[in-house]
Amino acid sequence: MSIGSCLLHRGIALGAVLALTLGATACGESDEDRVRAAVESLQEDFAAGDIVAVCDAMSDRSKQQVGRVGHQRKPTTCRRDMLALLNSIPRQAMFYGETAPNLRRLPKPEVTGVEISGTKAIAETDLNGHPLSIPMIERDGEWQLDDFFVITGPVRPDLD
Amino acid sequence: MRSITKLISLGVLVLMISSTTSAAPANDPGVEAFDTRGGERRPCPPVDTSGNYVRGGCKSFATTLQTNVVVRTAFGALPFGYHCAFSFNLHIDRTGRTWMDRILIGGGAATPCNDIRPCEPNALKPSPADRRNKGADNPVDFDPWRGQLRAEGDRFINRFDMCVDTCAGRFEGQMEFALVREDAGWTVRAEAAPAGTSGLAFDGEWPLDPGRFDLVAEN
Repeated sequence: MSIGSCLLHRGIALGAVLALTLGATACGESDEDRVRAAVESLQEDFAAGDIVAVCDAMSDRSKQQVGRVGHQRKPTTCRRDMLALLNSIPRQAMFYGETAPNLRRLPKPEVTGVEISGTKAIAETDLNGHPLSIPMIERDGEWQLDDFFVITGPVRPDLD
Repeated sequence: MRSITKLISLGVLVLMISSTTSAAPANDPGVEAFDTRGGERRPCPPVDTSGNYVRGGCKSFATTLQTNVVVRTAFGALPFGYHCAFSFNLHIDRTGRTWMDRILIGGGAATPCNDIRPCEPNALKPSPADRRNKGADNPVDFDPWRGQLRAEGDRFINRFDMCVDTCAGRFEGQMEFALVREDAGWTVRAEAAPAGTSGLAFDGEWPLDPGRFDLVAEN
């Protein structure tokens, strides 16, 4: 290979790398951005009462949690279990004196940082001045909520 | 060689001391706790946790039927348990170290309050003989929640390590309850206090029996 052709090849290779880098920056997001966006999207869907969209963005483990807690039976469908869970919340304790849930008025945790480890991530958030670490997991290229109740210790074996 | 051994020994000693003291922030004023029963005022006695019991210290019983259990989720704080029963014994030693034991959380049938119980490490389970020991005032079959008081303005903050098991899994972390002096005596307040960075938080208050102890911030 002549020096000229070598430089030409190098130029093409450099151009390709530059193009890939620019393309990735322009049309892609970092994993941190995607985790942040996934949490915010979950919150928006929940506030809008779009339980189907919320369920789509929850891992199987999260769905199992919701299905098993509070109503003494096995999980059914995510949508049905989510509605049962929300209906189990005492009305007098929540929703600002209103008789029906007003999910839009619920203060939401704000993402302050993201830590990624492989296909798992922790969305560090702030809720009313207190930190809350929300586990997320990547499935089929999408980041999903991996722990509805944000437990810190061992989960029940049948939920893990 | 001897000096290296001394250094190692010192390091081990420092480690031992730091592992037996609670995680109060440095620079916060310390606390002196006094036993005021019978109209007298003397330092709270030591707390003894040997034999799987919590005994001694200035001891108060705290109970309420109005604790709310809040689960902090990605969607916001959802109150699941409303007006739960929640009781515990609070032991304080003269330096403001605290132990909470005989912790009982419950409520009416089919409420999430019934799904919450203190963690039960095997290491602290009392033997059957211990359970039959009538002389001990506090048999425990779970690790007491250990903490440290610090002064904060005109109230005191008890920061303690807590752990509960629920039907969803285990919540553990550092939690803070405030001790507030009121006309009728001391009241413990949990102001939506979360367990570390987990989803569990308590909201409630526990009036304590008056005339049992007093707290003073060290200068």
